[in-house]
Amino acid sequence: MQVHKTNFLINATPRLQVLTEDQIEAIYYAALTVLYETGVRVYDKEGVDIAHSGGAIVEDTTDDSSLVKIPHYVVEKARKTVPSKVVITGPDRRYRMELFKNQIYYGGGSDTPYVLDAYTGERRRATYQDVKNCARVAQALPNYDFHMSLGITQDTAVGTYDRWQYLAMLEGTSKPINVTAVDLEGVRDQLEMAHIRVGGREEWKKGPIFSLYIEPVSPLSHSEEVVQKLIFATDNDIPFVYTPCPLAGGTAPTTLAGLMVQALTESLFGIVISQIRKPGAQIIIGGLMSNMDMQSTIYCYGSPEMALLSAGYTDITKWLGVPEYETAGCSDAKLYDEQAAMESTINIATAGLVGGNMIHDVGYLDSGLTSSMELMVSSNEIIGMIKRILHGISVDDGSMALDVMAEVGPGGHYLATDHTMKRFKTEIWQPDLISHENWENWNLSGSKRFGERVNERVRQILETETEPLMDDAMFKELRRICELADARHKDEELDMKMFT
Amino acid sequence: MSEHFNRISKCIIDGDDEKLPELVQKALDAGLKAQDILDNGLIVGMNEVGVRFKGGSMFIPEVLMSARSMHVGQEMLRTLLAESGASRLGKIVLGTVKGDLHDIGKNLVGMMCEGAGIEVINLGFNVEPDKFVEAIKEHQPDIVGMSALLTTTMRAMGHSIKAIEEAGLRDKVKVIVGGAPVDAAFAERIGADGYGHNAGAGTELARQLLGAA
Amino acid sequence: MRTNYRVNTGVRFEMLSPDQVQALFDGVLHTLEYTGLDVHHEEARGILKDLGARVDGIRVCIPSYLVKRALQEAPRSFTLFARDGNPANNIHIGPGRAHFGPGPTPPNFIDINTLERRPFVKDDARIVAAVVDGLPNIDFCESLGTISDVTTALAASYEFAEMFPNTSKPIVAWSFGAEDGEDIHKIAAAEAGGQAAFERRPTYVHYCEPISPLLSDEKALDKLLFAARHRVPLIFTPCAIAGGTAPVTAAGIIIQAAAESWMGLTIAQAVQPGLPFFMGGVLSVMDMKDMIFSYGAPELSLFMAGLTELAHYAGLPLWQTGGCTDSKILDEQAAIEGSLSCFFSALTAGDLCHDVGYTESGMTGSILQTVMMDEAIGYSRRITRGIEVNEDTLATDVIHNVGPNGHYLYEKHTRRHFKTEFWYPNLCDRHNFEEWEMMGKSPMRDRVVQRTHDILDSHKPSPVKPETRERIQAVLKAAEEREAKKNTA
Repeated sequence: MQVHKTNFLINATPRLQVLTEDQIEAIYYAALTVLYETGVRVYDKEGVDIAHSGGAIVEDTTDDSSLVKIPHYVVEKARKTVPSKVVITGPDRRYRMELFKNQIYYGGGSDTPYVLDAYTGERRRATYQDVKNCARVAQALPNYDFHMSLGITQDTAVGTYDRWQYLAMLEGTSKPINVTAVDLEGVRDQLEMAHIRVGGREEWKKGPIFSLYIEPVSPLSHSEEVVQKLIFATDNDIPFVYTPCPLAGGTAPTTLAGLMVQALTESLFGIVISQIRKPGAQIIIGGLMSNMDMQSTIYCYGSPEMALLSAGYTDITKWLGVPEYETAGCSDAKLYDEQAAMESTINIATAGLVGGNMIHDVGYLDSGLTSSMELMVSSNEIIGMIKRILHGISVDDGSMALDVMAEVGPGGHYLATDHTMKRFKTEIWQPDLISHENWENWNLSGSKRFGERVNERVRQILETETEPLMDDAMFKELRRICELADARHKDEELDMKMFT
Repeated sequence: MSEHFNRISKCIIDGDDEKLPELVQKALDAGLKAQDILDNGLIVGMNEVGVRFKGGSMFIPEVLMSARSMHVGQEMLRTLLAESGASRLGKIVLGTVKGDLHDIGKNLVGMMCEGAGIEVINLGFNVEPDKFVEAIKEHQPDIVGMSALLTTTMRAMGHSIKAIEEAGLRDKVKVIVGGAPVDAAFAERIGADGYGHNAGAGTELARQLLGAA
Repeated sequence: MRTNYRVNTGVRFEMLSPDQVQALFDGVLHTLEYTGLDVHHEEARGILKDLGARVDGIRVCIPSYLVKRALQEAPRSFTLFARDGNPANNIHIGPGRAHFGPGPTPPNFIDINTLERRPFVKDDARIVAAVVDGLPNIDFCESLGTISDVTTALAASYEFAEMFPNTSKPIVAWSFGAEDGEDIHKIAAAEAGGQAAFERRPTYVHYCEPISPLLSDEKALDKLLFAARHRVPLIFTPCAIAGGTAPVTAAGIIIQAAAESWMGLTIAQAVQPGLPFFMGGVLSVMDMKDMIFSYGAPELSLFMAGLTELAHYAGLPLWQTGGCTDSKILDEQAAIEGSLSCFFSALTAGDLCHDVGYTESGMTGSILQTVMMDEAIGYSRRITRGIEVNEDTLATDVIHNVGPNGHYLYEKHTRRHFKTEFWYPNLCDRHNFEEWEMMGKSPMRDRVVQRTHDILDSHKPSPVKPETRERIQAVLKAAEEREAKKNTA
């Protein structure tokens, strides 16, 4: 008999779609309208010139900026060369991210001023050691694919924190990193550090080990720093994330569709400038998009609107053929509690289902102000659960098991059947910190709440000795770059210890 | 007489900045004093807005429209109030510091301060320390409010205060600071006079510093 | 204006392809026709035999044409009514809607004052119903426990008697057999104004279970027949354990569960054509280390999604499971597991999702868990509502007016939309750190307990008619006498 079926189309994974193609087009054409009729304000002469050279209209030039209006044919031209896939690896090349449609990777978020101390529970300013610790936790968690600092080093010089932050991350993890930079010089220094870490400029050319995070300001405003970073990254083959953080009701329209129109306008500007400058420049768009809480005025990281916007924008980037910078694993809770657990569960599920590529901010609490290693560990487990669901349901003779059902028959059981024995290890997801103990056993093992077990795991990771990721010589070489940067900028520091 | 006051306070609560001038004019035409219109019409309305906002039945966009209406009403009454000797609550200069382009929070403070009867001079974003100094010279505010969203640009708050000190103007103004990465400890270290943990708190702080009840 | 515009209203989720669903459907028919089920009920076997099924002892095989006929007759859409006539509490069963409620029968309950785990008592049923009545995202009621401080055999009767006056939302009821099933029915019919009135506007659903694998026992079918004859909407769904009482694979457990359900469907439609009928159930995995039936496993959501799509393809509504956890307390694990299944339930829009409030793998009911999940359901519903894309929401003219470096806080567009575009939490804290600190630094679990008490203290369910109160007393009295006779006989 024929065993293998023909003409049988399957969902190898579940599917989630927020916007139809018609809706995506509506948003896209509206963004083109805004880009041409309203324009964006650009505070960098070089950026304005690039736009102009590519066919943009420049108007209303003041001392420090111009209004740049981009006709849609210029956008369509740029879309032809923008890469649909961007690859970033870690210094350890085995950690590799291929960012393209529907490929999902989860990782941290950057530059939180505060951390939650894993031992005292206190919220305090982040230090170099904290950034290193978060990186070590990221390294230890299998469902973490890339890292971002999850803390600004505030016991170092502030004006050059980006180099120190990168150093701390390199000490803790060999996974791909998405870095921030104080300014262009900061990018240069971190690039030099990366060259050292990966073994030279030629090695970097084979595959970059970091991407650069660049954030224009909504609405429709591109500063000198932001544009200069874009140009530098483009010129130096550094993949970069160009993402605004529009706030529905505040710096963007209150309607989610309107916010996406504005955000897309800002993203398209980045695409246009980078592609004119160098066809094939590796840009990733998307970002954190959410609503302003209309009572407390916070920027909501944990709202359903955040998850929904991120997912909707992912549909847009899939259609555009550009990698997406998604957001998940974050919460507005001020500590790791049930709210953090609930919000992160649903937004992690949403991002994975819709297929966002670089899904960042895992570990963010308190509207992006505080990082939590507990939330990192908890999210790692949640991502595991989601991935189990993302493996979908296979429907074939083996899984349908009609013969097995006939054999076991009414009133029988499956515990010892071949069918069960062969498959239970792959079919049944094994929890790690989630407790499946019954009441008695749970009491015997200490009646712990999940948060306690998570906290124990954080401490365990921190207290476990690991092999250093680089030798002392390399560390010193990298540190020297940081120290030189400090020396160049020491006059700009406030003359007191600012935070700690 | 109370009809006029009720209508005015209701208009404030509804946030109808287009209808308010007409109601204020009607009240003035009816012979009511500017101070009374302010106290029993406008301020009563704004107080109710505050109560409803705290209680969760009014939201920011609505509060801001009320504040805007309040501002419109106060502008209408300004000359009359000045003539009768009543003085304004005070004046505040607001700016996002050098290197920082984020100003939604600062703008919120500005809008709420206007609603509270404080005159607001908004310098915008990316404001150099010197510009704060110039603004103090030009406008003679009671308070200077600085905002920053990034840890790197927070330093500019310290630099700006220093510039104000060096210009010999530090004792002429109160300086308050705010923004997501700012906290009370930092405010103290750079010698600010106060810190607001959100727009509402910043506005309240400004009012207190101006001696408001 | 733009034409040829096709939009998603709500997000689109799909677990299985049409080909996969068809294959599962065929698998169920195959199982019913060639493997068959054991039916431990003479009358039921008789009904099936008369219909055209092959009966051999207690083994019944149902040819696929009979199953298809039954599927054809069962309605996909119908309404469950609030007993007080308030349309806001009616439940419209039909495509695209997900509804949520607690579950039945755990032996223990979390005391809402002491937070201790203790046996479930009569007053707990009242508490659960009263809180359910006041929760915005909970649509139907079950008691979350088996009453331990009444005559054992009458636990279900007392439970319904406590719930019914304390919530006007539709109730899903269970019973030990047809006798106490009748107790329950008398109460509901009294409030409705008689059997005919009840049939027009049913206010409760009867729940009974086949036994996995592929077996229906006497009591279950007694109840099924009673419900069918009185036109009470019926749920006949298994609780199956992957790797234990069902195949360990998703496709296998789905097929088996559907076969068990559709056997009951065939009998029910034969007795009462057009009877509202839910297939479904509680499908999950056995934890092979701790040996518990895992209510928090990701497989619960996975199986549920596949089963829902099969059900809808076959033209039946689904009885789902969600909002439940293996955690022993109200903690982060309870939040993770419960939110996950609530979210997938919302995504799959399958029809009634129960066990919201089940903890400790079904051993302990907790109305606190239900209250916490009410928030997760609201959250999920905002996501599944999706994004509206039209000229007004695209707002290009608003963007133009605001311009670079402007803001939207004063815009009319903002005022017009902010109340409907955003979800407003009841339990998720949105304060900044300083305010949260000043307010006492509470974790969410504290707010959950507080909200439970607030609802209980302030929300008043609508009362039943005085006649119904009397009827309830009479029914319980008669039931006690009935039981007493049995014990002395």
